[in-house]
Amino acid sequence: MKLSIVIARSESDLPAGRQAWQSHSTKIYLISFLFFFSFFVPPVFADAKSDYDYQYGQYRQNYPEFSLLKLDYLNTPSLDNQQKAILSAKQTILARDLAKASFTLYLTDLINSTKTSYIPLQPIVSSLVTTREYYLQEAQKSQSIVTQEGLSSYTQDYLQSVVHHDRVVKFGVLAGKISTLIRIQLDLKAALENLVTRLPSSLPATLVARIQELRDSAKVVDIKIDAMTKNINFQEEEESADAEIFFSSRVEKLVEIRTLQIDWINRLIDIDKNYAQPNL
Amino acid sequence: MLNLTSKITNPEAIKLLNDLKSGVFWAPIKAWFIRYQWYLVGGLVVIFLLIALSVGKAVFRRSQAPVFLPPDIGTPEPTIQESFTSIYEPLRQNILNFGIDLPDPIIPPFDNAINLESDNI
Repeated sequence: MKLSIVIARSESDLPAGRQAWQSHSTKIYLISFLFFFSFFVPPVFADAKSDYDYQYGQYRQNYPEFSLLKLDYLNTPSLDNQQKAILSAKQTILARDLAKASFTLYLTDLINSTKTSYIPLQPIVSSLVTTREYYLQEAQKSQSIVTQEGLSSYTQDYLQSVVHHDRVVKFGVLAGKISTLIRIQLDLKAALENLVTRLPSSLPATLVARIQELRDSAKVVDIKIDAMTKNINFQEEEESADAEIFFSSRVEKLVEIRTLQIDWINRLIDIDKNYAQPNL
Repeated sequence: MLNLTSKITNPEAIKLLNDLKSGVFWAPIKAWFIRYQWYLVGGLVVIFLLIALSVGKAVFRRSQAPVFLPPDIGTPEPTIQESFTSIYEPLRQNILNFGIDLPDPIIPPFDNAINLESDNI
């Protein structure tokens, strides 16, 4: 009899304190549930490169669509076609500037991943950060375009202001290459020091001469990398990035430095094989 | 009692026995032998040689022909050269993998002049 009375009572009949407690416990269950499953959510392995690939893919998808809509508008200049073209232009500009920002971040990551912190390259690295901010701001700014005149005005301003940042990207590509060369150079020097510790205590005179020769050769490569970096002239000759030979003129230097490094490591491995391997 | 002894009464047999006892019977044979002794010796030598040849031939046929093989030098095994891989090989690979092309990464082409003006397309 007592049990039937309890069942018959509706929730509205429950005391206010008990209702509050039930609501509170529901929140606790929900938070516990989210906290528990937060450990099992698979992490998203996105990096700068994948982000850039995605954003550039968006641009490549949007740009042909914009071109078609623009052609439609120019052939049939109706208000509907104009709005469609403007909306597509905004999407394309957004994708373009986000792709540029991602590419800049990708370059920055490439340089930072070498962990070199080469001082002559620091202005370029700093400029890349600023450039990325600029692209992100432009992407945001483009979304306020409403009219065709607004689009033209935006593009006019963009064409003037983007020149510097597009040049920075070119310098960033060079900085990435130089950073990689420096990383290799640092690794080579560390390898030599490691090899010296593995050699027997009494070294023949010829071996001492060969090690000294390696040290001298490393300095020569250092000088060449330094000269190549100073030759970039990022701050004084920024417009040099527009020249057609901006990249091609540096390929020869890269080949020369890489050849020297290959020769260097071959000589190091030869010493390792003949002097640091007791079983051979 | 039976007498097993017999007495020769045939004169020819008695004569032959007497010839045998006196050696007269052997005289012509001895003379013949003496006369042809070298022929006999020669004949015996020839016979001996023929017998020796036939015996040698039989022995040769029975014995297996010897097989002359080169001495066993064992199975030739390929010379195993101990490959040496330096701990600095990854560094070498890093240098070899370093791309010398510029720009790397390639700067993608973007249209900076997006507008609805007719001169753009």
